[in-house]
Amino acid sequence: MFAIKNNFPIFKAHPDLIFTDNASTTQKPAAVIEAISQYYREMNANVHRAVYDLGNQSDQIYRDTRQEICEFYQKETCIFTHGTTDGFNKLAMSLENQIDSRSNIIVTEMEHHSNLVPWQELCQRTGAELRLVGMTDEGTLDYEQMEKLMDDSTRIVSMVHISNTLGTINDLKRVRKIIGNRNAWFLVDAAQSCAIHIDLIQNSDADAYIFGGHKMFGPTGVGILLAKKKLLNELPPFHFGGGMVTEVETLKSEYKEDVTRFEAGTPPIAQIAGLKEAVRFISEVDLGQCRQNVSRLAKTLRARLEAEGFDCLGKGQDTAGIVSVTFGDIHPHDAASFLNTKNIAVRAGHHCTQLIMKKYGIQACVRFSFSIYNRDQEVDSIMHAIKEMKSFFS
Amino acid sequence: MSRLNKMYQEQLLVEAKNPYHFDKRIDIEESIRAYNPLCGDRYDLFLGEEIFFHGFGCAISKASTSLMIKFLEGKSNEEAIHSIKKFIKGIEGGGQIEEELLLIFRNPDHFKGRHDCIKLSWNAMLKYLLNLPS
Ligand SMILES: Cc1ncc(COP(=O)(O)O)c(C=O)c1O
Repeated sequence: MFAIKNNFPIFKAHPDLIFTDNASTTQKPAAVIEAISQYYREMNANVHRAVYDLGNQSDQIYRDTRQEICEFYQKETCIFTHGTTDGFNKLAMSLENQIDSRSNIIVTEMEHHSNLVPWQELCQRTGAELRLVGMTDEGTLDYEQMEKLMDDSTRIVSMVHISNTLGTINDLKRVRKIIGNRNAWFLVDAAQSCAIHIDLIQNSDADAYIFGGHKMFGPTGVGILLAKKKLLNELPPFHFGGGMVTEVETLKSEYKEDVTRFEAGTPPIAQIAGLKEAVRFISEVDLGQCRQNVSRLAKTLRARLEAEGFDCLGKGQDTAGIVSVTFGDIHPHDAASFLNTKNIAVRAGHHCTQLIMKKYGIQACVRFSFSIYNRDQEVDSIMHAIKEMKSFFS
Repeated sequence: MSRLNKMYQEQLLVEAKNPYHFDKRIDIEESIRAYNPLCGDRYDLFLGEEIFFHGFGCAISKASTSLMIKFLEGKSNEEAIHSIKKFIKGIEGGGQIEEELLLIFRNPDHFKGRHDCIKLSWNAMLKYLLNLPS
């Protein structure tokens, strides 16, 4: 694991940093940073429109990255977005003509707001019904309820793969079975699985997986929407302008047939160059080992927090390296400020999952989220700091 | 003084643990809510002859609200508007905080990342006062 951490310059700049806010964003390996910088230093030109060498090079990066991403996640096709939130907003706009007042859309109580609010809006525009699958106190999805909520009018099932607050890994195969051969699109928020739970994306069969580059050691500003061709074939373009048209007349235009019809305007090319390196980086690490590590770190931390008498959210049986906790009378933000003085970066708040906060009757919590560069001794440091915090605020 | 002790001075912690007029006075008709959607902090301010508050929030926002209520006691609406504006400006780095009661906040640099917590109730109060029919 030492070797992995050495790839991340942020830890050279801050040798004492214990970064446990990976669910918010991951750090970037040197190769990704260098790819972005090299792109601007040596290759900068716009895509689509150039015949000169630099432009061709940009085009090639744009094309190759798309293909490498599809191969990496083993999905048919993908479009570049600007992130998870952007991906869901685009889908919710584009699917509007398949939804009417008789339709229903299924989401879960575990959703990040980015996979909830766009569907609320769509339902308000169309009169469709939004149905919410609940979860147990342990933080597991209520699959039986999902089965009951689904019917022949269900057009969309959109759900989080790994909860960014609980770390729960939802069973996509089981959901696929529940959907069966209903005429419903199965959409997955893969923001928390795109970095190291690649196998679960590869081995499941949703119609689309939505995530952002910055959650997988890549840059901000670029996102991915992996999709089956069947889904994209039924979607009208959602953004209009240059790069997505063929013939343009005064009053109407014709659109391209390939996936670039969904990518109007100049794409985030430098970020795509960075993303390409991020995928290469991930494909070179032992992901099985990484998954074991983050899961062990989370389980150990959880057990030690509970031994101190603190309440962790959910039960964390099937955890992806995330632990959320409340510290009794110590407010999450005070806890986060305290931990910051010990060089421990955590997030405090509702983590854009207010439905989960409501479920547990809290306003906010502190979240520790681990990634491939976290180490066992960091859990010791965290616990040490927490004990100090307890006496400081007592 | 350590970074920690600069942010969480003794006086701030005492204030947060024993907040002034911390009471859910639903008998008072006029109330406003100070809410930070990013962290979920939420106070109800009950605006009667005297001001009371109740709700959920961090040590910093709680101490700050408590001090605000003490600080506004006896001030006219005009004076309150003027001094709230001055305080907020001080936190944002646009002036000195000199009032005795508010001295724990005189160095906003000690509260990096937590300015919104300090200003939470002050902003809500200011908005209310500015919207009063004159
Ligand atoms: C599960 C989940 N969905 C969606 C998002 C939103 O990602 P972004 O803010 O990059 O669009 C996040 C990240 O915060 C997340 O963890």
